[in-house]
Amino acid sequence: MHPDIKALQERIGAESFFVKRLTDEISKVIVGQKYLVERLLVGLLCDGHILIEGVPGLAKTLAVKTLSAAIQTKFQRIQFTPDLLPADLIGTMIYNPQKGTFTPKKGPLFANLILADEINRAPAKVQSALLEAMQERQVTIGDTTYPLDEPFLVLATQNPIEQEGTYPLPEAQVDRFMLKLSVTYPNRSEELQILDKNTATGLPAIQAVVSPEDILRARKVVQQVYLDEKLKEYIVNLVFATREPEKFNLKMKDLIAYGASPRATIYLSLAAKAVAFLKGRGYVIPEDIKAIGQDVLRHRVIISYEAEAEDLTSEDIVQKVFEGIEVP
Amino acid sequence: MVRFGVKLRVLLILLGTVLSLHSFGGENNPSPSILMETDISSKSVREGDTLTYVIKLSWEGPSDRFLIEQFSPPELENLVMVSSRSEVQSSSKNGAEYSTKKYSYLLLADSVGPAQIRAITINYYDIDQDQADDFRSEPLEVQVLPKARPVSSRFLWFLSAVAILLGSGYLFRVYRKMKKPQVAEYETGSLEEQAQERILALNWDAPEDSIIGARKIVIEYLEQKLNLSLSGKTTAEIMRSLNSLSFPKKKLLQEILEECDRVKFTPHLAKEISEEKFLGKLEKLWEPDQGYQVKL
Repeated sequence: MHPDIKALQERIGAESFFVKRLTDEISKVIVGQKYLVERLLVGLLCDGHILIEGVPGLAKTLAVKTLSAAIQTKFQRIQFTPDLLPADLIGTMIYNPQKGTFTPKKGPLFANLILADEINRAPAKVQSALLEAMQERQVTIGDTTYPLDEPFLVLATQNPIEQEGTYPLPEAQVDRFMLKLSVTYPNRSEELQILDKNTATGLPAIQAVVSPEDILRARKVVQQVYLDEKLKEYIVNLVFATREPEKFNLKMKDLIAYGASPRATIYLSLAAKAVAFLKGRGYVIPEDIKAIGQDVLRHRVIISYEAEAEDLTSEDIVQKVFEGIEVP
Repeated sequence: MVRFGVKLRVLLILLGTVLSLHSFGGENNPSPSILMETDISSKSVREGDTLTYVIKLSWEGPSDRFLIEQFSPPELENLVMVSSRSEVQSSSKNGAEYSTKKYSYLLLADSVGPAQIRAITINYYDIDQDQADDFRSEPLEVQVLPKARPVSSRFLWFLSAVAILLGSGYLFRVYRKMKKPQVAEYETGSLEEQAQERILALNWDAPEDSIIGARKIVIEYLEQKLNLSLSGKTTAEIMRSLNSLSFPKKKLLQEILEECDRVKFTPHLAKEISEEKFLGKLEKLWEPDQGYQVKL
């Protein structure tokens, strides 16, 4: 039974109308960073959390704040610090002296868009509380479990420099992020535009142009985007090549300590569907997988000491995997 | 009379027995035979090389049983005597003693051609039997071959031959290039015509396979035309590879490749593709008036 691609194409046309409005609104404030904005939309459409890494001043926080402002959702920013406690995130039970009872006080996690700023500056117990909420999409305060509202999206940032006094996220917890983005500096013309925008009349106000319902509807359409069997095989080959590179004639066995998990397979196919959706296509092509592959795999491939000794990063390894696996 | 006759018969039998025992010999009366063998280390030898000629005499009994007369070395033709030596060996087997006397001659090959070791006669005297006798060896033929060339010289010859072959091949290619007409780009059998022929040869009753096959043909055509490596690349990667080239039909090419992708990755849509339109786009791609040019 083949899906009706024509009908799907029409639905994509109808449901993706908000994408342009959203990107136009974001571009009022954010100059360039097309890569970052597009990936934020992929996370939004796939219901996948995003870890953003980049040096200070690259508009990571601003991009997330602008995105949340353009969507009619509840936004919370949590600045992660060494003295943060799990209760500061999830909430706690407060004693009411008049009634003599304890009442729950919900924490900032009860929002739609969470910006966990500098996530690696909080201790492991706080990180665990956040990551558990990310996975379970529910929070327990006292004896009661509260489901989190939909959409629920965590956008965490971390700084690759100033590692002293930080608590690096364990690999198992990093795996819960659908995408890990590596934000780079803008180019020369973008830098000039940044200069003009930020030194003139100040940043323009952002209007909420998208409702949470628009996003939830779009998510359903994204799930229906057609992924051919040939491309499913391609995705599985890519993931398997990170685990058993020698079976794909890739001489990298000694460079990889741990390959990508099955979550990578799921997220890679979902993210490729979202990329196809953003391009107004009802079916995935290999380019969609290649476009998002690095962001899905870079934090899931754990390199060995040998690779570190050779000054190779997980991105180099993923790049080699993409170059070595034949495109259908 | 009868008794004398019997005694005479017994005496004759005893005498016969003694005589027969003496004539057949025994351990105390070894055979006077001596065995002569000749041997040569090789039947052919290169000029200037040496070979060994051996005369071996062997007999049963102690080494001093025979007196062997001194004899001159064998006469040689086209060979020169370098040195000679002789040795005597004794051994015992099952209580019997055996002796061997060996004469060895080291001979040098003189010049290319046949060489000969002439026959030799050796006289000897059997002390036990008090007998003298002689024996004569057979003449031996040896072939002297030309001197071998040194390995380094052969290697130089080989290298020279290879260099000559490569050089002549290169000159031939340069010659062909000079002779090749410069206006052959869109003549009969051009890349465009070849590609179009291959497209038409596809089985268009199965549009999915044909369109996928057409993509392959287009990519091979571009690879040959523009000297690029495009196999295994996605459409976007192919278009990026063409960025540095002046490419008037880039948009058309992108349309064709995207259409191929659509069929390849949504096979059930293949029937909806208009074969005529698709072939029309391909024909436009081959049109020579706006052919591709590499930006130099």
